[in-house]
Amino acid sequence: MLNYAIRRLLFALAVIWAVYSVTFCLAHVEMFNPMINLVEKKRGIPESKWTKLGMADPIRLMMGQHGDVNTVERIREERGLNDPLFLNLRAFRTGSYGSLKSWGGFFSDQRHKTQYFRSLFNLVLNGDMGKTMRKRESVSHIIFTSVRTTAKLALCAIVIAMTLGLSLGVLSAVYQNTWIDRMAMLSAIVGISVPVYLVGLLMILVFVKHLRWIPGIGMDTSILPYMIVEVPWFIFPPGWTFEFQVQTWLILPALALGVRPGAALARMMRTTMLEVIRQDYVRTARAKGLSEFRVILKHAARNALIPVVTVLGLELAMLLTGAILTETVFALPGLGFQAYSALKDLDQDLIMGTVLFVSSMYVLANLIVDLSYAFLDPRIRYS
Amino acid sequence: MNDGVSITIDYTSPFTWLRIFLAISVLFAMAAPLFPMPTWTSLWLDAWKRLKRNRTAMAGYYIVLILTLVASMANWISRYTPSYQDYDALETRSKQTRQFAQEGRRGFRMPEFSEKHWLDVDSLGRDNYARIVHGSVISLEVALISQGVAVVIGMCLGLVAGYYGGWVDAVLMAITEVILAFPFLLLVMTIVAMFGVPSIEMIFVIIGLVGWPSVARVMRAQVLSLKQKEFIEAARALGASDLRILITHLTPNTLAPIIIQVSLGMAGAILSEAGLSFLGFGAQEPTPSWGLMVAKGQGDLDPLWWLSVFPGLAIMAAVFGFNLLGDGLRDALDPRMKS
Repeated sequence: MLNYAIRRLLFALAVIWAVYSVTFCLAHVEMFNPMINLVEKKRGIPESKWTKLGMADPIRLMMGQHGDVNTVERIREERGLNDPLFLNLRAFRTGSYGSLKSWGGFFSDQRHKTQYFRSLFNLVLNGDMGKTMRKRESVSHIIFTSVRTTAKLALCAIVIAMTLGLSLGVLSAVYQNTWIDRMAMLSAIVGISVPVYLVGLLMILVFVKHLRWIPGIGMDTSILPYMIVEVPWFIFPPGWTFEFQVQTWLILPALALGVRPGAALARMMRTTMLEVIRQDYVRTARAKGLSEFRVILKHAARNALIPVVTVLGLELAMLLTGAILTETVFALPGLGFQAYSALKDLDQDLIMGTVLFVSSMYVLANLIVDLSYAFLDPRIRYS
Repeated sequence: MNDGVSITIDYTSPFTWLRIFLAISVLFAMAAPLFPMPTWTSLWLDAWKRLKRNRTAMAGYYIVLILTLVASMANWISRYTPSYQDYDALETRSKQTRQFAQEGRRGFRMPEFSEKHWLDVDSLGRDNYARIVHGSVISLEVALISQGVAVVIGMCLGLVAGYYGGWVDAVLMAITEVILAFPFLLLVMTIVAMFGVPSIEMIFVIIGLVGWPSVARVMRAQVLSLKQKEFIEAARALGASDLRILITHLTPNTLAPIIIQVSLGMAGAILSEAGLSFLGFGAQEPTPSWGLMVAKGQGDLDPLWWLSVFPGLAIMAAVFGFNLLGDGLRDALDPRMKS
């Protein structure tokens, strides 16, 4: 088990490194993009070393067409954009690693003075992901602040999805082939088919514009940042007051985001429940005279949860993808929105940071799902 | 003469006749459940029998067929070209909006549908009905082309990885793992943003190029279990070459799960394209893409909700149809899985 866990962890790290490399290539492909080059030519920007090579000049794009030449050159030097991308051919030519005596170690090797190695070392050794092109903010700071929004959103969405999905799945399995089952499964397929932004727009339309239950969209609805929900007397004992705050900005996006994973969970839960209900131990539990409620929830549903965990892991990725759309619709400054705006602005470091972060989260989630299998189901043995 | 207002159909173009042919074959496919079953039987006929009995699957089957019919007959059933702008209709609508405001009404507003424009016009005066109808062409194309690309790449690589094993398998599965490590939409968005927003056909291909790993995984799993079977051993004993075993013995036996995967993948591809277009990384104006229409209508959501909701419902209906059909095919082609 430990052996398997270590191997799996190493593999995950390798995948993250590969993801890093792919992202780096993608983020720097932009410089070889002839379209941007054409835009520069159209704007009448004088040719630079970069444009002569058929590459777009990222700093020029940032500083505008009348950018001060000295500042442009300084920023270019500062960001190390004059260095080669992957291979420092000059190092081979000057023979900087000609003899072992003159080799000053891995880090001082001229061959590693490239953009790829520098950003990789910066990330691994310093946890530094660079600065954004436009606002010159630290990328790691942006990710750190925006991930909180997305985490809240995803957490609420997962809670909604699990509540909805598991209860619908168990219900439709227990009442198999009745109208309850049919309605539940039909709504589950609808839930899988509906695009998240359609749900979002309909919710904005109904709850914000028409019913006005929620003051507005976005995180700074300065009118009332939270809603006080009083628990009604028939749920909570009378005479006691109990109220809790609900952050209003979170309600609609979390509901919209929770629809799809909820529907997927319901379908998965139904399938596994149907398998589990037919098992011998469930029959034994019934024969012992346990109540049906106890049999279903304690004996069947618990064991049906194991395959559901996989779906949960996979749905986490869908959730991160869905977060891009949800955060765009609801104007939330989360990780998805940062990725979206980075891609809109062609902001290299921010693109690399967000894409790498989101992908690593997904890889780690899958890793945890794989490892938790062994704990949840002792029958599974890894060789 | 094409004046840009109404659609003129060029009957000398082979594509027109292709569309007519497609529409006729769709009509035949719609009537297919009524045809008498042949006296012999086969795996596929059995599956078709099971599919016919499944009511929800047939609902999906008909939704997909209607989508195809609408797409192939798009030029015949819409009065305007999708890019024709009717400014008079815009004026009429703004008068209606003003009147609505003057009456002091707020809240739900009934859609302003007219006889001239069945589903109103968008903020640029383009006929929404024509755009939704022509949007079905884009959606069907993305479903077919992206899954075509994904199936060709995924099947080839899955076959090779599963059959040869060893380091070939390891390398191919590592590539698969890396592509699957990216959130799908984010990877496509990054590619599109970095290479400059390409033509809509290129986006179909990119969705396919990013989507093949799931097909490859299914294919590999199938091949891994099939290559242990006796008939493969028999073929090898008879002196069949690897290529012959791969093509004539393994591929036909893996088709059922691939078909299921593809029909569900088509739903995913439609959803991805719509999402990409919604974010501005997919189809660009004036392409009549459903996702783009939702995005454009988003700004007018308050009074003119129908501009974004109807294209959104169209996306939902198409994806719903493919999902129903995919589920039905899973039950029909793999009866062991049906409970």
